[in-house]
Amino acid sequence: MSNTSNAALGLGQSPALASGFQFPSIHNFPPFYTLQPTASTWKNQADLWSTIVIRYYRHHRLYLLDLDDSTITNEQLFNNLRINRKLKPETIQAIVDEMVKKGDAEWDATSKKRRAIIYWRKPEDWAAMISSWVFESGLNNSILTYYEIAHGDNSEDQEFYNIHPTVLQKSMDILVKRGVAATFQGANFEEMGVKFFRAGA
Amino acid sequence: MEQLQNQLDTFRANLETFARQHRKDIQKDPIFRMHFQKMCGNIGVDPLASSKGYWGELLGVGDFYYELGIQIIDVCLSTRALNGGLMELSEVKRRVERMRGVRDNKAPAKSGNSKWAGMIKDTGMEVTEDDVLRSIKTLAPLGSGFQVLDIGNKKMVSSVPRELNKDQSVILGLVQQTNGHVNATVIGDKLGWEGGRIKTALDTLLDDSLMWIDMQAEPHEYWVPGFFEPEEDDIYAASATE
Repeated sequence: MSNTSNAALGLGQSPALASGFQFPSIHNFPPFYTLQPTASTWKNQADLWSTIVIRYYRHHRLYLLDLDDSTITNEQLFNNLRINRKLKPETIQAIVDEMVKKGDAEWDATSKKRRAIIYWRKPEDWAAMISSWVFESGLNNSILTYYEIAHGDNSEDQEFYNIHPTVLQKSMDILVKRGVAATFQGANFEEMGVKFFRAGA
Repeated sequence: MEQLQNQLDTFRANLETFARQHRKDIQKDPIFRMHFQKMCGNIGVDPLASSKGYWGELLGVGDFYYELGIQIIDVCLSTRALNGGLMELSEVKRRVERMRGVRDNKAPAKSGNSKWAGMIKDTGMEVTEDDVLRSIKTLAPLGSGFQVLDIGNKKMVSSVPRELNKDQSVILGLVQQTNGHVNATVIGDKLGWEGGRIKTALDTLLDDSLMWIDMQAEPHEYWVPGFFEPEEDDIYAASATE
């Protein structure tokens, strides 16, 4: 939406770092890991963190932020070994709370704020993307399984390949609600079926 | 007296002719522009007083400073979230030049081809700190709150209407010599202030968003983000909901 200034200011990923994620310099700013006591500063801090989280998740095609999973992914994002600073869990929660307000994340209601889905694309956008892929590939005549959408040979080159089940379900719900698709119960989640009637998600 | 007036008129007329002939140089060459400014100042002409004025129209210099002013506002506002609206003059200049397409000196050239480097540099869009100062002065009547503050031995551009008190200024000046961060102990050692005075000053600097606190350091470390960066990225300018 506000990409104009980004390009002008050289925000684009450096090609040399295409495989890794290039953190902005503020990620090395020690106070960035302390929840700032001044309200306006905290607001800006939370915005900056949201931007980094979204970019990081988009770059690595991640969906689930799990505070109890301290392996690899969150480790790099919230724990800066170079300057020996890391975000406390309650600060991460506060950041996610801010993201939830803006629709950039959603807490798993059963997790007591330990797990959240990060929406580096909104469910509406995923829905539109999946729908146009179905019609462009002529897959609209048969029933597709969730597995075929998320892990099928046909979708391997798609951005939604390996999409998180929760996000996939949300996207399908949107399409059903708009009357452009119908879902069918399967033996398990991956065998759930979906039939598309028309494009126009 | 009349003779003097005649002389002055002649001089003005010459200056006009000169300005007309060198309009391009005035716009593009920062050194040339500075000398021209000095020359005008000597006879009491300020071609920048207004872009609508005779001189402004003749030279288009009003447009030059107007455009520069917009760019300065852009730079200051887009980084305000991080630095609380206080930025070194040299950094403002650097960012404005980058916006104008001037090659960044801090970024190493990708190729060693000096011919190309020379050509890229020659875009005529360079500005001097003097240009930035003049431009900020022209912003003043807009009630923008833009002002230049002397802090420590640096000129800082403030884009938020404010008055720093003496203690705040002294601490910001000190931080320039301590790599952008400071703690109560260091302040006590260097300035000999007692604890309450230090705490009050630091708290007000936090309140004004000019400092960020690092509570994972012991003693707590206070940072001025404006002194921290400037690496080659601009997340500060990005909206979180892009």
